[in-house]
Amino acid sequence: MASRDRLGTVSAFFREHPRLRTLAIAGPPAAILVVFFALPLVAMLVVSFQTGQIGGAWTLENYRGFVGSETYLTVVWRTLLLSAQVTVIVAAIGYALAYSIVRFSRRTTLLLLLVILPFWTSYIIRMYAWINILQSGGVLDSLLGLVGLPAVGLLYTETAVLIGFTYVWLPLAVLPFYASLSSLDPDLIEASKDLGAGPIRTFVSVTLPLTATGVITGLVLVFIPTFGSFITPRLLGGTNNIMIGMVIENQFKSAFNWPFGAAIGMVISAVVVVLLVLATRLGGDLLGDGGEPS
Amino acid sequence: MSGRRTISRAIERFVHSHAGQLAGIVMIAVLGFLWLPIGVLVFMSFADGGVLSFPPDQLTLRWYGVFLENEAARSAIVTTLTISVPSTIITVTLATMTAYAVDRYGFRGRGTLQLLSTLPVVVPLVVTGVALVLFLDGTLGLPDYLSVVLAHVIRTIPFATLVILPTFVRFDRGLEEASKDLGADELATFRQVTLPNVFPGVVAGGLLAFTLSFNEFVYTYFVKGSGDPTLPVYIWNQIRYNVTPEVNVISVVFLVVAVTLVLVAVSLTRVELLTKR
Amino acid sequence: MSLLRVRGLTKRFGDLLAVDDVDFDVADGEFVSILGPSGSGKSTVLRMVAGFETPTDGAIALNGEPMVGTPPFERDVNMVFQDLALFPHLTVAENIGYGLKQAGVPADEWRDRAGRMLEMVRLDGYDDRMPTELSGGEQQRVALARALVNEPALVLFDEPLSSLDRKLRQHMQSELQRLQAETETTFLYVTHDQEVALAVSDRLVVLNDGAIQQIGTVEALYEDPQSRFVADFIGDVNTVTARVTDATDETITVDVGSDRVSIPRSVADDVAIDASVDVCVRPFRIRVGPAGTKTTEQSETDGATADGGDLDRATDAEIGETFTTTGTVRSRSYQGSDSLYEIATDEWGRLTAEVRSNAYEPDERVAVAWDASDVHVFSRSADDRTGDRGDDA
Repeated sequence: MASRDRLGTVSAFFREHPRLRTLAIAGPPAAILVVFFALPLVAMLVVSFQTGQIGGAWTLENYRGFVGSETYLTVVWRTLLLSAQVTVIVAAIGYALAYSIVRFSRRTTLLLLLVILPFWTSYIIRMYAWINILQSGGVLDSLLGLVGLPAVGLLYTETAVLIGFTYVWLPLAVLPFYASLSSLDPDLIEASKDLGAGPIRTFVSVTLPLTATGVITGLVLVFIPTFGSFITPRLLGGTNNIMIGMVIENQFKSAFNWPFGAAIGMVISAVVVVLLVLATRLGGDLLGDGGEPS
Repeated sequence: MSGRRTISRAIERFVHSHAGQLAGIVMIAVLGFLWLPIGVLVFMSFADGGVLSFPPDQLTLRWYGVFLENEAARSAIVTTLTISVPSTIITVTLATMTAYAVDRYGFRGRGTLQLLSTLPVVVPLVVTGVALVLFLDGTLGLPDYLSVVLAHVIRTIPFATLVILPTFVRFDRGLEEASKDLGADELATFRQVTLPNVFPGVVAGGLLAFTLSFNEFVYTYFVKGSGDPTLPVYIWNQIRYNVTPEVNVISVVFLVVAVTLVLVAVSLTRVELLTKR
Repeated sequence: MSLLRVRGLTKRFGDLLAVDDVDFDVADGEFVSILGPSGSGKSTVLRMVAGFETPTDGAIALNGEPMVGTPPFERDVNMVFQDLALFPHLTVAENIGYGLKQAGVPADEWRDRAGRMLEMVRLDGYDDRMPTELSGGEQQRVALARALVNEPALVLFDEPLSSLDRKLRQHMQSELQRLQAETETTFLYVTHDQEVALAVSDRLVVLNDGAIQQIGTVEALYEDPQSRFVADFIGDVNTVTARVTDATDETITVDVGSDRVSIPRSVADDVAIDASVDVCVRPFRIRVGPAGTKTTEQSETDGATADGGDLDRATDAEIGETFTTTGTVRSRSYQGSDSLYEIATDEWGRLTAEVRSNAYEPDERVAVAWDASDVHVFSRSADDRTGDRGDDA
């Protein structure tokens, strides 16, 4: 049994050196994440100060050119606005859905599954489905025609982009809302009603404050990816609805000005970091501990 | 102000007595919204005639046939598999190690490790995709294949960890203590007691990671050179330049694969794992 | 007119009949407890009074006003929940003032009233603390204050004391009584614990299987139970199965084992000849003496008077016979002032006797007796399954 002896020795060795054991187990994932996630972001930072291509001369021109340009700043602003709109819509619908499922459904697991399943399919495909629906003469227009309403040809409008984003992020947002709501003690809602508050006032005074953490998590999970997105605006918004993510993609795939693209990427990251810090301060806990007082 | 009071009372009463119905409406409407496009895709995959016409004139299986014959599509599937399978294995291994370390040991970087594992979900895909290209192409100069596999690993680790970690947390340590009491050391205990019990969660995490990797577009789009596209990239190209009903078919195939995998994953653990912390 | 009138209250959950045609009243200022085992429907009744369940049938009226159909937030009723349900995100004062705030009371006024309520429950100065910082007993009092401060017509209690330890529970019981008297509020209290119910209530409503078993004061239910269930549930009782052989206006005669005893009519249900009945007697009514004590012999016996009368002796009250038998002591439990003996009698199954003396040992042969006037006789229902064993409570 030589192999067993060897394994036994390994076990014994690690028992003697607990620090090494932790290193052996936590080390590889940490290393991979640092090297292939954190470092690339650093690389992006470095490249953003170069000229024209990787290894070019050092410069601040990328940032100056971006921040100084009214066109680009307008794009950033419009992206922020659009992302905010999407976030609010998704939060409202998602919360309403989570609330309905938690308080009023009997086959909760099944319903949750139905909500989450679409999320696991390809982003591209989900967008493609909406192209089918929203294009002129597509499904939506045909249905409107059936009821006698005029066709709208929503494709390539801002509304289409809104719909697309809402569709994509809704399942993801429902998850933290559901987690928060399901840990809320239903007796608290009854107590509030017993003391004279109707359902709406109970919601405002009891439910919402106690699920605030989940709400913030949901808001963050929607806003940030939307802010950087390029697929949806490209497929559903056409050339009229430019979002900042599209600009980055363009720099890398068409204009081949990688440093400039990197600079824009850094700006976006800065926005993301600021928002994350704000969210954490507001009590959102993204590490997955929930954190509701109970 | 009694007028306002009366109105608000009336509203509260209405909501109170119709709460169940309102909830039902919300659930049906939203679920309908979520599944309608999928229904459309499935329906359209059987459509004869061009994509643009709805409702279709005839229903046919023709496009399924075309898809099966399509060399490019088939090779795209193979490419996808050669990337997704290895990356899933790596992801699951790393996620399990992370879960084990975070659950069992207090160490200085614990919070950081947890944070790092979750961040790829939050940072916009385009940013990470760009960063990866810069790093892997420009700096490390890794071959395309390896780059893409690593990109997929980064993309899927948060989800795998999210599913596997609770499985460890809920695992009864008493079993391990019993095993050690009976003479098995740490490694043996892990292999013979911990792993088999944690296995369903690990498999679920793997299935979810595979589904995500299979459907992954953004990172692949950036990191991959001009070589053989994966299926999502293939579809992107089709949609951008040349749309045929065949794309509907591919979409349906994707859907069926994704749904099946997720259902299997869920039956191994419970969906609540994804939502409860 | 009573404060609360419940008539024909019924609740069905699918096939399950949880509450079956319940009628009772609560008068203004009363402390009424609904007592019953788990699953008896008592919580459901309470929830229907509070407005959280809708009755399948029946009427509930508060001060003459029908309540069914009124949502809970419009009823002049407040409830103390089993798990207290204090709002974790609000301070103690905000918890207490919550109901007042909903009613539109201005901030300084509700803060003031909350403060005074805190004084009344002896939690002065706790206004700005958070519920999670409080001990179990303190949280109880906050929950109580929160209900009382609104001065509702009726306060409902859903077994709030069940999670407390014994000393604390007893303390809270007297607190409850004090507060009820001071605020002159009407209390309706639901519990499965007879100790609590007996300690605090003016009247009891005993429920089993969704139906009312008996309503009355504590004394009435204890001294004069109308059914074996009530006799068993309030206090403890021993049961011996017997068969009626004769019945006159004054007595009924029963065969119990190989004995025949005559029982005063006043303690018996309406029974038919040849009917099978339960003869119930409380443990402390049973006298125990050394085996071999004959009915006519002078003896040292326990449980009666210190001068050691006969086991068989006439009581001052009514003329009746005595139940006597012999048995073996199975176990003894020292209770302080009394001892509880579990005795396996030769013919009548197991009995529990509560006597002053600690003298008898396990496995000792003893004689056992009690007066026929001390029993309660109930007809056996068709689904009585106790057989001839004779149970103690």
